[in-house]
Amino acid sequence: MKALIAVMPKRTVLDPQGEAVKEAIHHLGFEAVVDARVGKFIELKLDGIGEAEARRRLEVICHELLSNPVIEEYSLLFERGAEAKGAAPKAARGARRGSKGVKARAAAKAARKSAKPGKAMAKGRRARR
Amino acid sequence: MKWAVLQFPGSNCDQDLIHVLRSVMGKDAAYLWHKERSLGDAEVVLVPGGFSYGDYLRCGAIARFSPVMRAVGEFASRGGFVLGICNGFQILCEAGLLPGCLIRNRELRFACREVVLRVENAGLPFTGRMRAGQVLRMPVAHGEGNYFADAETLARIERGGQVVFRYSEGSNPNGSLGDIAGVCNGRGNVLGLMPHPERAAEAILGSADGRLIFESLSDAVRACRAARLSGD
Repeated sequence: MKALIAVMPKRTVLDPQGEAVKEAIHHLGFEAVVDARVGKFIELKLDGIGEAEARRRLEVICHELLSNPVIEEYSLLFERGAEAKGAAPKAARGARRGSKGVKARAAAKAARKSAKPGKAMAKGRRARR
Repeated sequence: MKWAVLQFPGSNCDQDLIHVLRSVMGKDAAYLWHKERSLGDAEVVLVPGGFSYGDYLRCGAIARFSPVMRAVGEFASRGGFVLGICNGFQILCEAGLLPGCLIRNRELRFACREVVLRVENAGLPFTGRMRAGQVLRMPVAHGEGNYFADAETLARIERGGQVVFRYSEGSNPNGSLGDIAGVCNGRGNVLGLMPHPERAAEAILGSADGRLIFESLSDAVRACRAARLSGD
């Protein structure tokens, strides 16, 4: 089981890094981005513990160490092992591998380039690595 | 050892502090490794600048859990004097010994230059040799010195005289709220500041204003000893 923790600056806190990223995206000609926030993503591999107990312990650790409640907030999600991967929370998967939208768009792009959709999908995945 | 200078992996202003304390101030000062669990006979604890634990996670976030910090917390709760400079200030904030937090400089650049500070509270063990409104020149050298606290905390520390130093107008190098350069705890025995008094304690370095902090602390330690003796 994995714990997936996203730490983000609070809305009330100035995020100069996010501002700089937004500016850079605008320089790329993509003006539709109206706000950017930069945070951290922490992945913890867990063994020999149930989700309820892990959550109880990790809430404390998130609060004490992984985030600073003065300036940040966090979200904590769990991803089960390979045998239950299909049941992993959608949001967590999205956060780890890029959003579903990006994935779908990349696949569509690859499909346009090739007549064989199956192969194209594989190509699309490789291209993103 | 009466003046303990903490050393974390990545501290790099510890030697400057020892130099000032021993050679300039003539104090009995020693390093204290972060794995120590006791402060021994220390009367003052100094948390130096640097990049403890490589600034991983957040500045000071990991140092805060070093064994020595538990002893520092207990020392502070007994009224012991604790001074955090730069990364030391960040560590004390992370440890909850000081209010607020230091975030990335507004301009995203490492600020390394001399600033002008104004003394806001001259009634502390750290500022006894100063007068309110006095200006001091000291260098800053940090990437995360932008003081932040929520509105409620900010109002409380302003009201309670916990804002000890402010960057004078036009001198704020990092976007700190209220131009805050240094704050103390409610009791006034723990102080953190971003500028480096240890780098401005000798005239040959361009300013000796930083010495006032160490001299004030020295007075406070002496007064404490005298009070203890008369108490016995």
